[in-house]
Amino acid sequence: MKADIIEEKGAILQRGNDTYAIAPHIPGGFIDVATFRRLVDVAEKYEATALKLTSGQRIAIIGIREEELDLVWKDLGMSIGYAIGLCVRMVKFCPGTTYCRHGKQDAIGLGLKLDRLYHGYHLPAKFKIGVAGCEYGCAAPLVKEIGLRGMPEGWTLTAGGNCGAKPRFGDLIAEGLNDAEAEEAVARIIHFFEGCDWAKKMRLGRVIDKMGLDEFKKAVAT
Amino acid sequence: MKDDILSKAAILQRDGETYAIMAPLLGGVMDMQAARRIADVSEAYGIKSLKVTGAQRLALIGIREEDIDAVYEALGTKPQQGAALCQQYVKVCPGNTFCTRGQRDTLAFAKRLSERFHPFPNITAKIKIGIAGCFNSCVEPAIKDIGLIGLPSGWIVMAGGSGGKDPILGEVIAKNQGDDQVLELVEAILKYYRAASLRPLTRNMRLGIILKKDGTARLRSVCGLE
Repeated sequence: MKADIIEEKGAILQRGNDTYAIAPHIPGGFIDVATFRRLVDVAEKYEATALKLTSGQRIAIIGIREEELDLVWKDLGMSIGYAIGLCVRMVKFCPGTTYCRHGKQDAIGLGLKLDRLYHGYHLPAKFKIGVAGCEYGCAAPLVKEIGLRGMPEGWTLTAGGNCGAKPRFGDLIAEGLNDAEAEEAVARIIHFFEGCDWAKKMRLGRVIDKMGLDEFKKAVAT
Repeated sequence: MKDDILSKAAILQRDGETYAIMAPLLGGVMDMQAARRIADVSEAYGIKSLKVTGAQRLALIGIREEDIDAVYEALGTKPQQGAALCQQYVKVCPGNTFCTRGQRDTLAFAKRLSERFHPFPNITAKIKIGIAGCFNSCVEPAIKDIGLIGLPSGWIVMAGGSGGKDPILGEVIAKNQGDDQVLELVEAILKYYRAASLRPLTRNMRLGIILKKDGTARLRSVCGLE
């Protein structure tokens, strides 16, 4: 019987219980053509079944044999995307002011920074971060544990969103934040949640429901 | 002054010069041949970056206006009107084809749905459809205009979700639906949506906002639901 998940190799067992899928770390889904080509070459070399663009803005390589996982990672030369486990699964971000005409804030800049700080960071439960450069919210920030939306006057921060069986929008925590303030507010929320030993596998939205929004705001205030 | 070229599903980028288009990939799945072709084309036309988008599509960013047609041709596709970056899409999880948690064949169903309804009716607001193979909802069906969740007993159908400026969680309008039943429901919802988007009071609005104004009784009735 094969393991459902091999966490240290970022591998997820696929249907048929035979092969695995891996999802290399591609911050924000931005990948240059050379890296993309290498990914395709490696996938072909190891006879992967398919590539799948995921909701976490990754490219999953599906159909890798267990005994070849290490070789695949070595050939890719990329780090693991934490698509699994109790941690910050991803920092999802949009093209922001770098590429998109609608962008009001630098979503790539802040997204990359948060990605460097928190991607894979262990927490009591699954945790997602979405950074969108405008209120359209291409990175779906309202259904992320931490959502940032770029407005002309700064970042709007929401906390406690999720989809799934009990979908819930994030609650408004702060508005008009600059990049540094947004980063600091994110740090406070993450470090608060990190200390919630009682919240094992409980997503942040449930934690907020349990303690009440006002209490939560106090707990993460400066 | 340049602008988006919607007839070519090409989106003007911030530089005011170059465009982004989407590689034609149903459900974000590509085989190695398709992937290699994208790599070749991207290199040939000096693409600045590829981006996996929130909608599981692959954007080719930084195409010169005069190259747009050639890029489509090299990718082996044609621009699909209305399929521009953020107007209309079907987003789908790996389902029981790949994922051990998947409880329905989302990829095959997405193909059926796309073939039946594409090109989608000309609705001026967005049409986003999310097809998830289990409750975990990798494709966020609760914030799609039409969201489906696949369970062993059938599909849950939600309508009216959106995630942007006016966030709304979709409302469950039916449960335990078979594939054919869902296709009928989608057809009825799209017809309702198109008609409402032409009426003065609800012109150009997202389905969720229309339902807030209209209530869901009428939608349920045109869908044959009580």
